[in-house]
Amino acid sequence: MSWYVHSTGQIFDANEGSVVFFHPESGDTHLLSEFAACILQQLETGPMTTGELVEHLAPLMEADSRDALSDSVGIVLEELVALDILSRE
Amino acid sequence: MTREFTLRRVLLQPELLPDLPAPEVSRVVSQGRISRLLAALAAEVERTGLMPQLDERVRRHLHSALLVAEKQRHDLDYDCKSLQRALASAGQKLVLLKGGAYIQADLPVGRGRLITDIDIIVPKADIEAAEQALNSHGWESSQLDPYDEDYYRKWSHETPALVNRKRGTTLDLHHNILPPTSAPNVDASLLFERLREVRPGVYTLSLQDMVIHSATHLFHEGEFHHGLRDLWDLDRMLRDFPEREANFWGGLVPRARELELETPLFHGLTYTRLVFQTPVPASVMRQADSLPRRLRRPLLDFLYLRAFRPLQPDCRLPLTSLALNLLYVRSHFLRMPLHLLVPHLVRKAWMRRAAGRDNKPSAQKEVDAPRV
Amino acid sequence: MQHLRQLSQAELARRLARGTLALHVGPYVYKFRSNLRDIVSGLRTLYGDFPLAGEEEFVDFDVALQCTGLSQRLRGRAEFLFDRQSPFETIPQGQSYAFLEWGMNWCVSLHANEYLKLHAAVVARHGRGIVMPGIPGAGKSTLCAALALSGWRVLSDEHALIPPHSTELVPLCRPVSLKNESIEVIRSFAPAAVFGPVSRETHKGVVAHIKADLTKDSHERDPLPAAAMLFPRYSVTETQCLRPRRRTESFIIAAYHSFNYSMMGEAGFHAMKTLMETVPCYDLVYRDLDWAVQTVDELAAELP
Repeated sequence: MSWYVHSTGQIFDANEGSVVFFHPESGDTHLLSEFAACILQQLETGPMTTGELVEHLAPLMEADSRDALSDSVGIVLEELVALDILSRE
Repeated sequence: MTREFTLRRVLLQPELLPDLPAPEVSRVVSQGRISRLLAALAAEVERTGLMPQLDERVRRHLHSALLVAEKQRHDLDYDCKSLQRALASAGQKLVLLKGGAYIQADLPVGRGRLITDIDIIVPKADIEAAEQALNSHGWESSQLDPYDEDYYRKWSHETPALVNRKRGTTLDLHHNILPPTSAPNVDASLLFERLREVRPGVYTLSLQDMVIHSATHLFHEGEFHHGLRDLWDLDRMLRDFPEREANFWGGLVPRARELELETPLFHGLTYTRLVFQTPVPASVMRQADSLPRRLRRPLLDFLYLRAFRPLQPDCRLPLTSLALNLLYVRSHFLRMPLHLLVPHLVRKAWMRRAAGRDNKPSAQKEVDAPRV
Repeated sequence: MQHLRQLSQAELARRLARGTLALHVGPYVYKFRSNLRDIVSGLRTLYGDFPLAGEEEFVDFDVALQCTGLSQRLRGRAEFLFDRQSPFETIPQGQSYAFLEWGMNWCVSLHANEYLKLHAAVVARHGRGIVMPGIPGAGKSTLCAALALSGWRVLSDEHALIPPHSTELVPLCRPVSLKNESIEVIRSFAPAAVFGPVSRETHKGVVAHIKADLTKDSHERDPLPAAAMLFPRYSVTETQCLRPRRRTESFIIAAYHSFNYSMMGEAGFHAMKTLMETVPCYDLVYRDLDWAVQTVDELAAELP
């Protein structure tokens, strides 16, 4: 099962730990954590499984534990699905 | 028509707009706003390439109106996807009516057309399943007082409006184009036989049925504050559809007869010709006409020619309020048997009084609430 | 150019009764109609320096505050009209002036989508604007009034008008509205402040407006660059301070309190982003108006 984005979002990032994310399809604007924004940027390059995402993110996040990272990624992915920004196939 | 109103002239001939004196243009913008036709006018101006010839101060009102229409078009795309998913889960198709249909079908009648809600239709047998599926996909049934709830369930051709929890979009779910209490009893299953797929998985009524429905809605629903806009819809369709479908005119009246909606079609054709000079072949008019309709013409002309104007005092013909009130009663009369009509109107009036207000929003709430 | 104050009281009343009074208000022309005494005196007091628009000019917004018909007359009610239609319930005549001002705001809030419209007061000094988004009750109007009475130019106390793709602010100067206690606060802050008619028992309590076009350039129409976004908050318990705040959160709050951010779709996002990339954002917590004005003065001097 992999995750994919419907469309490329727009981002306002002021290096503050959170970013403003505009979702063109729904016209909604969200305040996302940098972490969530990072996941979205990865997915904008193409659909990925949770495992693949963790592989890409681990070096960026300097994560000690893959398991902990995987859990966090899982939670964020569900939230992004609820916002209708992501889907799984 | 004794008194001319400029909005009508410029809708039909947008090329007149750049040369009109400024006070006249102010009136056009104002009439357009009130009649919900400013975006439609803006679309005509843009289509004919006249925008650059207009004064910047006028242009910004037209652009502003177009922006609202564009936003609605964009939101409609998104909402239609949600509706498709919801209905598909109940094994049903998305069939749009009215404004939503015009816009999704990319028809000229949809250019600059504003919508206040999305109207869809499902077969009567499927309506409960549809409502449940929609509920579970975030489209919630609104809370009504028990009287209105009961009225809708028993006597209406639609369920109480559904509202999208996240987005606030309103949805009207119909199972027919006229309430079951109306004198003509429309066999809605006929409508489903001729659906058009306008986008993958998005359907509308056939071109002829769209025209017949638009006319029916106009002459039965009593919503005459949008009368001019609805008549403009008819005009746009009647000018465009014959070019899309060779037998459009030939099949129109027979189809209306089949649906038992000849009378509203006839009125629609009559008044769109009178107000917008819509080219309707004489043979079609003859086909649609009948002696009883001809005898009622003087009265109806008196009523409708008042309804199909902007509501500004300088556009009004004498006795407009009387005419609009009579039309309200008349359209209720058309929709309900008399014994139902009387209690409903009395009840409506009483409830308004009991609530200490008429239908207008309270100034207190509306004036300064930001719109997000 | 002629100004409203050049009309005699009788001439003003006559024009209002006939609906032939038109004024330039920022980028717009408003046409007024009224048969109420409070409206005549209110406009005379607060709009005296507004330029009159000629009869041959294009009118953006046709507004009226009228008492019409026997029933309204007997009950002492009046109604606001826009495009000659009444969008709201009637109101007691004693509230007419406040409702005219609200109605004028409403015209811009609802239409005029050529700009990104933030719900904010806008003031300027040294030709640079400060946007003060209004979280209701936060005290933006009080601060705006105090700044106006301390030499600042008011661009608006309600709408920050920002042309997309720009970081500019379009002036739309009108009287500043004050509510309840802030009326007395401003009276003692500046005893010379000019007040219009007082409207009592409105949904916001007592409302009065002050004349706010007090600088020479008040009615100039050229846009000014935005230099900062300031979120004022009146508080008696917190320590007074001016401190930077996050741009991303400020973006969200200002967008949420915008009249048309969402309606503009992607263009709205880009307009907002262009603005937020440019302006630093601050919280201003204040209790003492003199301190607040001095602090904003100092901030203005430091801004690039």
